[in-house]
Amino acid sequence: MLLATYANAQQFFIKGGLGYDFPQAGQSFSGYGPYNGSITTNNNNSTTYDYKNNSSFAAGLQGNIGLGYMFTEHVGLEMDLIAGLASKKYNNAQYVDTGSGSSYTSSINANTPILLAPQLVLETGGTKFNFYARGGLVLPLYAHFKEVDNQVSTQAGSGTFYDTYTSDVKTGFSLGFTGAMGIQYYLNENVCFWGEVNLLSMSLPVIESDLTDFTENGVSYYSQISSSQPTVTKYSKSFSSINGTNQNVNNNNQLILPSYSIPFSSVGIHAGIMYRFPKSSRSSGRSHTSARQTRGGRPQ
Amino acid sequence: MPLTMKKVLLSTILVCIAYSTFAQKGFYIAGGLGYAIPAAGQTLDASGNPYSGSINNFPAQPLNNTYTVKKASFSAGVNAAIGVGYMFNGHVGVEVRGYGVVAPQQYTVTEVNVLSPAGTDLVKGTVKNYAQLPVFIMPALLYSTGGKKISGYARGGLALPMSGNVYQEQNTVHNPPDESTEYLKYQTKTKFSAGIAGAIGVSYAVSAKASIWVEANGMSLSLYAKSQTLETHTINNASTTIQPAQGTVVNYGTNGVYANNPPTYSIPFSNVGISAGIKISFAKQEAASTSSHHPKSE
Repeated sequence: MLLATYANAQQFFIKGGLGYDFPQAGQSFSGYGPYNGSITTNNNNSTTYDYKNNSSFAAGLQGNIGLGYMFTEHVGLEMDLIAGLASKKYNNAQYVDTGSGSSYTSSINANTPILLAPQLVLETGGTKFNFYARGGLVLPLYAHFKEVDNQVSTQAGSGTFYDTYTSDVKTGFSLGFTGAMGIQYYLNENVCFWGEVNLLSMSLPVIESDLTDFTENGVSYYSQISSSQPTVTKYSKSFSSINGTNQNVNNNNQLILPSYSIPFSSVGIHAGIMYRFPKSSRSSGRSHTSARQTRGGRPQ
Repeated sequence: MPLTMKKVLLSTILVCIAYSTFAQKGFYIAGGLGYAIPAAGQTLDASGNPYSGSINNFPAQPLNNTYTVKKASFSAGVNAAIGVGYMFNGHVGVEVRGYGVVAPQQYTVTEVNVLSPAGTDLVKGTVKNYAQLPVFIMPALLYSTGGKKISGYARGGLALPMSGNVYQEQNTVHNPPDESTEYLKYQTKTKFSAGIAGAIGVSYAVSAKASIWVEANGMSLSLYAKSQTLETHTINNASTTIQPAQGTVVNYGTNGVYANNPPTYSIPFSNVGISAGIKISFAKQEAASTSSHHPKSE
């Protein structure tokens, strides 16, 4: 009977949804500077700051699609593809001098990150409502960040210069984990709405920052820079200087610095729709339990 | 009655009987041990110093010429948990769990060829960072697949830190011919901050009341520094009243005058681990009529 029930409960499903994620287990500093806030040198030479805690680059609007397979009424596997559709941008004024008018500000945000999440699914089963929980790994497939640094400086006799540096910050592979608890509401045997609270816990090691553009007073000088000096900074978890030199550079004359972790944890609220494919005739034929008794006895 | 109908009726009865035994309602207690590794950790602290690894500076150079850095999180290590829960039915319940990291992982950074604070000679040193018995309360929602012998379950909820102080011990040895030593121990108190904790696992009933459980679990949490206090300061193993440049107490903030109270920073406390333990249930075995999973079948 149990075997028959198991066979009858086997079912593929596909799902999709949207949600908004909030920063969780975030950071205020990267190790190279603050993520969000400002620091100001005032006319009286006192330095004041106003920093925001808990920056995390998984925050923002997320979309997800997934497919899965329920081995039994209660246990299954699911593979989700998660994309950051509108990731939160963090602005930081690392230096503002109210006396000279010079400043250094920057912004950074994730550039449509894409994550793959294989997970185990547990369901309570239910007629109209079904509680479920998921838990598993998160594999970053694409996680680049766009950093824009703006520098304003005034030189006597030359006027004010507005420099903008745009960089593509690349991260290395790092496993995270994810989990969710939610509820499904069945419109019919195959279609349900779902809503859930989910968690993503991950930090990504920065491995490289590539300067992709440089403008001064609105004019691009990138080609001149890239031909005269390195535009790539490498970040590594280990490094040994070459030939006893006293500079942190590699054979390609790229600066090497200790890798730092970009916070990528979030807690979110998501909702969407799921379609469960009809059970196979083979399975139905093996069971004499009516279809409504499987999958939690959902209405036919 | 046609044969097909008989089989349907028989299957229906068997399914209902099977599910009726899952419909346990009542309290339980659970406890266990586990080990967690850093997850979503950090490699560098707010000042750019590694939490774990090694650095070899060339003399008087601002850049590190040989280094390794490793990811750290202060809730990694051996942990113990004990909790009490209540199942509203066979599938949904609530639980409050006390979770303590009884043997937290310690992180050490070794650094050589560092210019001394006075700028007169080179020193080498080790910096050890660790938490001391961090304790968390974890209220959670619990889902169970139900099952007579084997049951899958998932837990999700908050991680509320009751104790999350971290310590840093700095040992410095001046290079020859000086070779004097200095030791400083700091305690950093953290502000309250709620995290998220969850688990997914399986339990196996060894008797009507007792079961063994095994689970993968995780916690996502950053704590922010509230204050730092110098606890111990010795020079050449003798206690000293000499104060370090930043004083003996530093209070951190999110805004203000930098010199008075520097900005707070996050301390990683996220982990992922495996735990196992035992659960004693005081639940009542309810009758088939309480099973609401297959009302149409019934």
